[in-house]
Amino acid sequence: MLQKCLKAKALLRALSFSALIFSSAAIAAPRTLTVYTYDSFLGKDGLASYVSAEFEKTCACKIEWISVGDAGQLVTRLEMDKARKVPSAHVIVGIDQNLWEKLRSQAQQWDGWNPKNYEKIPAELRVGGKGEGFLPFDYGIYTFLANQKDLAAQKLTPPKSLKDLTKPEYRKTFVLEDPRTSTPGLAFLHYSWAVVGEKDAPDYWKKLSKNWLALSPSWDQAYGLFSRSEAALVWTYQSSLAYEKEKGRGNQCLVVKFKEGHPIQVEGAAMLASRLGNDAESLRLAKQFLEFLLTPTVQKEVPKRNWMMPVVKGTPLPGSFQGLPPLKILKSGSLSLYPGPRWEELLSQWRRAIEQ
Amino acid sequence: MKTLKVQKLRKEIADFVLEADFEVREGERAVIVGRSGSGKTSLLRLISGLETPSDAQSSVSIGGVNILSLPPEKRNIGYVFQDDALFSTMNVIDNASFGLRMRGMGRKQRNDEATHWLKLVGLADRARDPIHILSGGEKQRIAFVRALIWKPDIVLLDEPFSSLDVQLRAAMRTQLLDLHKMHPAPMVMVTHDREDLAALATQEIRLSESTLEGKSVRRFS
Amino acid sequence: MGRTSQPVAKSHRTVGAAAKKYGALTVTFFGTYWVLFIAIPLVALLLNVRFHVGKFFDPSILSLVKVTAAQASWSTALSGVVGLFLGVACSRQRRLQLLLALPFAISSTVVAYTVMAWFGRKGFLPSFFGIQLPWLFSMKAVVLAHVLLNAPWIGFLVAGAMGEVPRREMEAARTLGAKPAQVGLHIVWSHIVEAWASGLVQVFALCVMSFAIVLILGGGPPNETLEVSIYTHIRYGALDLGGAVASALWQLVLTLTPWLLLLFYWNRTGVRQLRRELAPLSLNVSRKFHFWDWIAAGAVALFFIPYLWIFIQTESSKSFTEFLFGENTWAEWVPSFQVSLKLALSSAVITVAVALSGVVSGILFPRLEKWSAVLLSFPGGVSTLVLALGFWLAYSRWVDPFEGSWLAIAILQATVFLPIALRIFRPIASAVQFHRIDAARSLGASPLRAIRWTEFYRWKGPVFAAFGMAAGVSLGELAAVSFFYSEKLIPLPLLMSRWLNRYRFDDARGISILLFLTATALVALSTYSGLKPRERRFA
Repeated sequence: MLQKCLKAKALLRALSFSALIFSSAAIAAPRTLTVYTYDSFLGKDGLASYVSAEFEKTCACKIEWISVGDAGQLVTRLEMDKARKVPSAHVIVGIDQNLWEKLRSQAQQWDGWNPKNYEKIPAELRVGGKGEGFLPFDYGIYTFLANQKDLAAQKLTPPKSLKDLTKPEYRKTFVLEDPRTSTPGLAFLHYSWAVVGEKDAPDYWKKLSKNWLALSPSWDQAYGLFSRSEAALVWTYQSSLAYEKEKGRGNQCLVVKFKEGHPIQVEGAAMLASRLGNDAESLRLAKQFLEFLLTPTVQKEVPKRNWMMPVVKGTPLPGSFQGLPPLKILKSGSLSLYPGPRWEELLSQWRRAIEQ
Repeated sequence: MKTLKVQKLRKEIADFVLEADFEVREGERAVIVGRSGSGKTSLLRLISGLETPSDAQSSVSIGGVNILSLPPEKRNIGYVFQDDALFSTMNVIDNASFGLRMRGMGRKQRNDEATHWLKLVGLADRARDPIHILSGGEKQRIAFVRALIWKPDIVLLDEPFSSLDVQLRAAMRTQLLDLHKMHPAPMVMVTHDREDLAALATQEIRLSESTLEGKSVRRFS
Repeated sequence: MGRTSQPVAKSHRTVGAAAKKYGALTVTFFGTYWVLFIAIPLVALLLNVRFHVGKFFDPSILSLVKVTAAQASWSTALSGVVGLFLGVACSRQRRLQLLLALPFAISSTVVAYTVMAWFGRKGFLPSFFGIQLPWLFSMKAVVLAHVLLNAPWIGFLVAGAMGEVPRREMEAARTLGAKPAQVGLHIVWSHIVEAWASGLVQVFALCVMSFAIVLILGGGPPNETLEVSIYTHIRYGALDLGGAVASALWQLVLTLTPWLLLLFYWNRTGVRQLRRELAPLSLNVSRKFHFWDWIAAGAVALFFIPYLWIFIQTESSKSFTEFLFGENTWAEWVPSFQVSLKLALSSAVITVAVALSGVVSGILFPRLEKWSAVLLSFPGGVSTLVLALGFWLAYSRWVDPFEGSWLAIAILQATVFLPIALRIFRPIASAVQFHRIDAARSLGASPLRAIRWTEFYRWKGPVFAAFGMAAGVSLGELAAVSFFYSEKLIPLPLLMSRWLNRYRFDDARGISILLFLTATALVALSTYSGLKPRERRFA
């Protein structure tokens, strides 16, 4: 009997010891935070690699970045995860206000959490209600970039409004992006719809389609045409002027100012409820990560690494970003800039108009 | 009908020199017997224009007209190739009537003519068949018809029976004789089979070999 | 005793037990591949969609069908005419034939930018000659780019077919009074028409599935093709499988119809059967360049020189060597280059293995010959995007595509390349000299050794050529990559795309040069071995 007891005790000790080892091992292994993002966010000189390097110094964790193509495919990926019943990411980085409409229901609500530095974000850059889950971290103002030399060669001045683009003198001088495959393209579609009005939009798009030089599938192709001087005007971000300045071509280029104002793209991050669920530790880490995006450490790198503007007011800007001409931002509200769920209807309308 | 005269025909080929001097008249069948590689085929190719002699003094005349300056399609020489060389993408009747077609004869007329000749060789019922399903003997008969139907001035045959068995060869010789009776143009045939010589030749063109300045000279005369 | 001549008919191909054993293996391998990687993904696609017939007749999709068919028809017709002349002109010189093969591996993105570099507002022609093209961003520009890309390929096929024209037949025709032009029309043409026609059908399918060229030069909707429609239906957060499948099905109708018509015509006329027993005599391929060969070389150069613009473009602030060895770029492009090479070589190996197994199955079992040709040709009408989507839907439960899968990418690329490989292997397969294999066996050779000594020399060149072309084309392929890449599996085209989105245009140009050089080197090295003079020919 005694021997049996001794044996049992030894076994128990062995089991406890193993448990201790395993749990220690578990504690020792860094926690992984999985983040979905779009392609160009990654890469050696991208913001992601910098964020990883800095964040991992402080969090005792590992960031696993998963690229899902372009920003639009972030949504597709989440839908696929749901259909496949596989765990999604903890955090998604790179959504904008348009995509937010589709993602809102999948985001982890903040439930009273107040990220540090959130109050330093201007109101016009906050998307959705506070606590809904969208954390902005950079923004860009859309506009046309003009090559002054090319315009002058065609005896043109930069357009002053959206409607100028339909005038005969601007025929085949500008490049736009396809709203079905490109974020800037979709932004232009929304913008033109908001400015011209729902009733006149189809006619406007039809005239525009006769005038554009090309409708490129992506921003980089459109910008490539502009760089090659195929087009004197390209729909892009205000920060593209900073890039041209860096290349020594700042004097040649000009940011077009429309009297109607300009749309903005606010990029943000959100936590995903499906993955976080009841995992308190992961939730804590995800919140820590989101907050980190608003720190000066990250915000000051946004311009050069992501070619966008930092959302936190007072963040110092590199030389090429200073002196970017101020642009009037088209506010949401009265002009109903974000059609939201009517997105597909808008695209169909647009398609029908340009095919006539 | 015309006489074929080959005079001082000369060509340097690889390791020997080919020379030829002979004459074949209308109705005659000249046969050249020689071993493989002796230059028999080259001789026929020179006469037909598929190769050119190396000596400017060479002369090949038909009816007194030197044809060496003419391209093959203008020499009016029918040629039966060793491996029949039928047109694999055409059927029997199109093969047979090709020479007529090249001479501008209309479709109906040339088909009628070809059908007549095909009857002579017993292949009229195969007129629409593709070539590749024919036997060796059948192909050879088509080759004969193709070479003779358009009434060439001269007919050249390059070992026409080499791929046939003994029985078939005998039948083909008879067939050739019959066809030659219909169109008795001067005929030159090369072969390695002395039985062909015995059965067909009205004259033999002999091959003699000598050496000149260290090079072998093969002379057909 | 003379040999009795018998027609060399199919029934003479007696297949021994050993051959049957190998044949069973090849049939199993080929059949399994086809079912797993073509049939099942396509079925998965159809089953996963609540397919509305209405989508098939959606007016916007029907208008795309019209536009797609129109541009493909024009592109094919012009490529066919130009390619025919190129092929005839280059048939005498193997070096020129090699040059005709090279453009095939050039990525269509490079082709599109080449047209832009030459005809754009600041392009060579306007800058030096004042020739402006007002239609640069239109379907006309798309057709021009298609001709630039595809005419040399048709020329390559025609030149190869001309090499198979029996010389004796041409000589016989001349002795029967045919002038050189008549020899060309009645003899040569009937031998090359099959290669030309099947090349046209292939080019038509490629033009129907054209993607990058249409996107870059088409100018945007309504100038777009069904392939672009598939792309937009599965991108940007609006996964519309119904629209994608409707576009894909119409695309299949457009690509397969000409091919089926051609097969039907050939079966009716028996044209293809006639060529089965061709003796492998060929035109003498001269080595010395004559006057007309130089003219032909000039014509070929017109299809090659334009691509050299990427080397001499002056707008970039970074030279190619700076890109290659630069501190910032070296660490990024080298791993991607390794990934690209691995993918290219893998897809090439799979292409050759599967195509060979299909073709050999047809040789060993003549009843399966037509089927294997049909099955190998079928992927020619299926877009990579469609196949990738189907693959993903079919296998995502077992293979996590988001983990990245080089094998999935390689298989997809190989599948799409199978029809090209078939095109390269078929002439060789149709002229297998069984009597020589039998002769070798009678002299004591085992089946494999008999094949090695009698057939290997004929197959070696085409196998290398198919390998090189598959590898070259794979380097620039993006559709399969975009579905199954991961952070550890970033090939060069994807890296280029990322850099373009980050203003790194100069570095992206470096990648396009690297891709161009590598692809053409792969094709050149491989195809050269396929064009060496064949010593062992039998008269």
